[in-house]
This record gives sequence, C-alpha cells and structure tokens, in this order.
Amino acid sequence: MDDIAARLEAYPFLPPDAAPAEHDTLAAWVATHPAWASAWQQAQAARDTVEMAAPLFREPIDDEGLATYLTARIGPHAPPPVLRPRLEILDARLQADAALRRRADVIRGRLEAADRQVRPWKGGVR
Amino acid sequence: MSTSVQADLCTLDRLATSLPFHLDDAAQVNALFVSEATSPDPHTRYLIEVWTYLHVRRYFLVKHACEPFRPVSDLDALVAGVFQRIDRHHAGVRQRDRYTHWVNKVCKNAYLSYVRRRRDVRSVEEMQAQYGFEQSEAVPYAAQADGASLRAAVQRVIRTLPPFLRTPIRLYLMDEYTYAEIAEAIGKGTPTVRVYISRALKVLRGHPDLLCFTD
Repeated sequence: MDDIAARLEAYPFLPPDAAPAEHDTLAAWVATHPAWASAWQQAQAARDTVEMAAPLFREPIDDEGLATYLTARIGPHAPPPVLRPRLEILDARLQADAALRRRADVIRGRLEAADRQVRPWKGGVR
Repeated sequence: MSTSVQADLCTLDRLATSLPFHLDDAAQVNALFVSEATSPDPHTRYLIEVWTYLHVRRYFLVKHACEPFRPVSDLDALVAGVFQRIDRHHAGVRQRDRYTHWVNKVCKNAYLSYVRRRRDVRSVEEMQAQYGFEQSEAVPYAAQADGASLRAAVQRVIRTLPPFLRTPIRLYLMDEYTYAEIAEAIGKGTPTVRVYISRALKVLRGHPDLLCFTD
C-alpha cells in the first residue's frame, strides 16, 4: 500500500458507510506493518474525535453544529488538531455572517438555560 | 483563536477546566481508560468520570438546544441515567482504546430510544385528542397497565432466570441496550445475545406472574 499516509489522514473524515471497510483494510495492513501501528492508533482516535463532534462538519451548518461549536469552545485547552481547521472556518464565518451569528446567539441562550436546569455533578454516581 | 459568540456554560466549563486536555481529545481519554486497566489509580478514575459526565451532559445539552426536551426534567433524567448506565457497564468494554466511541454510542442509542418513546407517547396523546377520549377509554390496556407493577414483576422473574440469561435480558429490557451493546458488555457475539434474549423473552412471556399483564 503506497498511499498509506494519505489514507490514514483521510480515515477520520470518511462517511459512516465507507469507514468500516476502510477500517478493516487498514487494520489488516497495519497488522503486517507494525511500524504504522502508532499512526493507525492516532487515526482511529482522530476519527473518534470527529465522531464526537460530528455535527460540526455538517454543511450547511445547522443548529446542532452551532451548539457543538459553542460547547467545543469551553475550557482552557486547545482543541485536538483534527478539529482546529474546522473550528477556524466556523470562527471566520461567524465573524462575517450576521444572520449566522444571530442564530448562534439563540442557540447559546438555550444552552446556557439548559446548563442551569440540569443539576450540577458533585462527583460519583448520583 | 477568538470567537464572536461565546457561551457561558458554568458547569460544563468547570468540568472542562478540571481536565488536563480538551473535552474532544479522544486520544487522551482512551489512553487514560487503557492505563486504568493496567495500573488502577483513583485520579485516573476521577478524570475518566469527569470526562464521561462532561461528554454525556454536553451531548444532551446540544440535543436540547436544537429540539427542547418536554418536559425539561427529561433532560436532567437522561443525563443522570446515561451516566449511571455507563458507570455500571464500563468495566465490560472490550476495546478499551475505543472508550470514547463506546460512550458516544451509548449516548446516541439512549437519545434515539428517548425520541422513539416520546413519539409513541405523542401518538397516544394525539389519538386521545382527536377522538376526545379520556386516557382510560382510548388506551384501556397499554396506558392503564400499571407500569411500575409490571416492571417490578418483570424484575422478579428475571431474577429467577439462570445467570447467563439474566444479565442480557436485564440490559435489554431495563436498560434498553441494543444487541450490539449487550454483546460488548458481556463479551459474547451478537448472534449469541440474540439467542439469549429470545430464550429469556420466551420464559417471560409464558411466566404465570406476568400473564396478568397481558390480554
């Protein structure tokens, strides 16, 4: 497989119907080429990240995408590299598009209200 | 990176601040979950719990922001219920390096299951409204059956089943797990789980303590 690096890079963004077959192909190849095991693990973790933040990648961006964007911005830590380009695209769009910004403001209000409505977690299982 | 719209999400933010990585950093979370198996450590467990709760809470807040849960107390119940479910079953996760994937799947299944339940309730409510029936007239059996008694009776019967059937059917009926999730939780294949569920349901359907709940 001479295009392994490109395939590993593309793997996180494959649509759900194409991912399982590619997963099996790559996993089988990596099993016989252990030098690529770490890169394969990173590609899978990147896919898991993309999966958790899947609404971010929808086009056109919808309410769920905006809510995911707003919640991805919380906390002091930089987002994982696989999300950064997409977040930067959305930053720029929000700066430039007043209508999208208004939509995001509505979503922000709902998120904040909901965050107040759910009981805070005090650690452990309630 | 600056952003023009920023949400003030106190609880989420506090939890995200207590983690040493970004909440979407699957590689870090999975690495913690793997390391916990080889060298258990209270701080690692704590970080995994914080991340898990944060992810579950965020997942349902995002859903709620798009289509609000009615009543809003459902949101609170879903967050608590799904977190508890994950806490009960995380030890059975076979692919420890895909913990985030498993947690996300549990959230997704719980949400789909909730939406399906809501749809069923709504269709009953719409039917009642359409025909002007009181609940007791419109749904003499389904809605009037004492849900709590039925649940208690089912649980009692489940306890009498052999252990290899008990866990799968409890996960299936009480926790609304999918076959795939049960397979993952008990470490068996999905076809085996189907057989177990089928056998357990056969016992439940014919059990004298449950016959009073059927026509």
